[in-house]
Amino acid sequence: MTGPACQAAFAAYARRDFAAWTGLAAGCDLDDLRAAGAHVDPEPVAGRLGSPVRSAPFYAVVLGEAAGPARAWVADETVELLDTELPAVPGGAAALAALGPPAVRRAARWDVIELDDGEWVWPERGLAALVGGDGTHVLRLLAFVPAPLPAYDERLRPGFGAREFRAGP
Amino acid sequence: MTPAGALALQRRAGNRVTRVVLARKLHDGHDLKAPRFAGDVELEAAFDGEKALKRGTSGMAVVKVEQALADFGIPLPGPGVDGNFDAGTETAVKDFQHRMKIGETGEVDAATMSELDRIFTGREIDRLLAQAPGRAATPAPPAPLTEYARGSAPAALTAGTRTLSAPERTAVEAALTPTPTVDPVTGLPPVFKPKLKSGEEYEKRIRKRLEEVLDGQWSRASGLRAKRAKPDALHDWKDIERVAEQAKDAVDKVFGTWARRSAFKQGKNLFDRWDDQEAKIAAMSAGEKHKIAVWRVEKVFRTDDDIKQFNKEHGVRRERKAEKTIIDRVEKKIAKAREAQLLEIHRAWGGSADPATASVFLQRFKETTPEGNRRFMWRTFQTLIHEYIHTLSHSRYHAWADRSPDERGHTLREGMTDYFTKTVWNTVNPQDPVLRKEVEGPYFDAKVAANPPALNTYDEAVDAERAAGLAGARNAYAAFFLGEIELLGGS
Repeated sequence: MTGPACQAAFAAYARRDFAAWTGLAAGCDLDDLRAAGAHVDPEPVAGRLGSPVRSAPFYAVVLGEAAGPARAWVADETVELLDTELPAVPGGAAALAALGPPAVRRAARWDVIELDDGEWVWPERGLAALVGGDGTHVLRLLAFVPAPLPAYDERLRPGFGAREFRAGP
Repeated sequence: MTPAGALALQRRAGNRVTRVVLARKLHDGHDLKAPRFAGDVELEAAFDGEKALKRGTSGMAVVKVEQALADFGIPLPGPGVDGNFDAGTETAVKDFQHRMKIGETGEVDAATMSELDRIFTGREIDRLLAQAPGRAATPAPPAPLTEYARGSAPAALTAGTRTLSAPERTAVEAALTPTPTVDPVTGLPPVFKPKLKSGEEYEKRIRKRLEEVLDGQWSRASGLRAKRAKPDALHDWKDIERVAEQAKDAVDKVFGTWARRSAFKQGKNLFDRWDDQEAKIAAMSAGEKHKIAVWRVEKVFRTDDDIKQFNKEHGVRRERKAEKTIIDRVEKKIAKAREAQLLEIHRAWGGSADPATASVFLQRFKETTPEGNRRFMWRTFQTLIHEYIHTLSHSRYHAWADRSPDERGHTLREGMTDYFTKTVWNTVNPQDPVLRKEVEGPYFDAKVAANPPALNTYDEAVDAERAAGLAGARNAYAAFFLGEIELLGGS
């Protein structure tokens, strides 16, 4: 556990308060998450991150009643990425304006479609979002320890695409 | 015979010979069934008793036989699997014939080919190889999150693998990549025929067929929203999680020495497809919803067998401008006219998976009869076997599939996973009362026999199995589970 800086970042992420957001603190662990009020599932799941893709474990977490479920991706027992699907963000994507313009806006595959300019990344602020609905809805919210864009892409960026089963309705 | 095989024969022997060979060797009612052998002209000829493989023969047909003998557990003296029918191969063939109690000729004749085909049509060899690849001490199962770094897997898991020669790599590559349509006589891409001599027009035909298929999908999807609103309309998560545990156990019994993962759990890596899509669609713009609608129509275009047949008859290659213009026009028109229906079909689709988070999204609608619900549970069991196997693939293999061209990527992902799914399903006894109770849950009825649906697999499973037949099943396992993709021609 590394203490208040970690818990403050987790709490800000849970509140979707990005006015003073500077990313996750380095070295935070699952105990920090618990100390910030999160429930952490005891058993990790093997997921995949980065490019070339690598195996990476995550824990299902609930960051509090308002923030809902998320994933805490860990490496060497420290949290390297917090990841929420369809997060409740008051004000929608406009709430991210506090961060200033993203360093990069690019196309990304989400589920089975391509989002034009839908992936917004602030690598030096440790935040990325998938934005849909013509720039109004946050579809995915990812918080990480600040890193240059190539490092984020190589190590942390998850694939956002889905693979549909053959059998229909 | 595969189109690629026919083409190779054409180049070697000319059209006339090819026609004769095709007529005599294939589809003559006496064809090889095991995917690793089926369609190979030389092996079919041996099977038909027309020409045995013997000393001095060489080529891919010999590779397939040598690899089959090696997979069966017969040592190949000398250089091993090399595509040259030498004294060592002859000894191995005699050994096989001795074990099968057939004439010890040392040649791959009709009786030998028949025995090999019988053995590899069943899946027992695959199971044995998966469970004990080194045929010696089986290594301890890895911890659930373990993914072996390259070269760090226990030696027993890579025992019996072999480096592929350049021609073998080419042959494996061809097996993994379904051959694009070519004219059977010229070997060239087909000429697009918008209108056939019979007067049938391509555009009208595909439009009509797309509408028919979507009508069918809509008829199944349209009532589900109302059904969902009723109490007790959905299967309980605890019943589905129990099936997921059984699916994991079934896979672990076969492939557990290679890799293990945690079972699917609701809220963690198991979700309701309808709820997920409902929330996603609600967040979409009009343009994004339209993309979903177009994607749904395109999916029918890509997967419907009738449309595949039309494409053959009209000489269609999707990527060419003339065809693309027609297809895109038809798809967009249908997508626009039926957008609301298509979005509802999308919500109601059977399921999906997110490879990055190893998550599965399923429909949970109850059927109207106990028999229907039992079949739902068995189908879910089969689906979760397949999905759990997906989660076991090594990241290096996963990355290889992702960066492969579409067709090969699909074979590496879905074909190989279904090949392994068949192996696991073959070990399952649906009549086992203990398993039935676990899978059928509240619908279990000892008075009626279990009646699971037939395992539904992708066509590409055959391509994957054909590639494994060339490279060896051990090579396929090492590529998929250990990331040793070079053993299957990857780089």
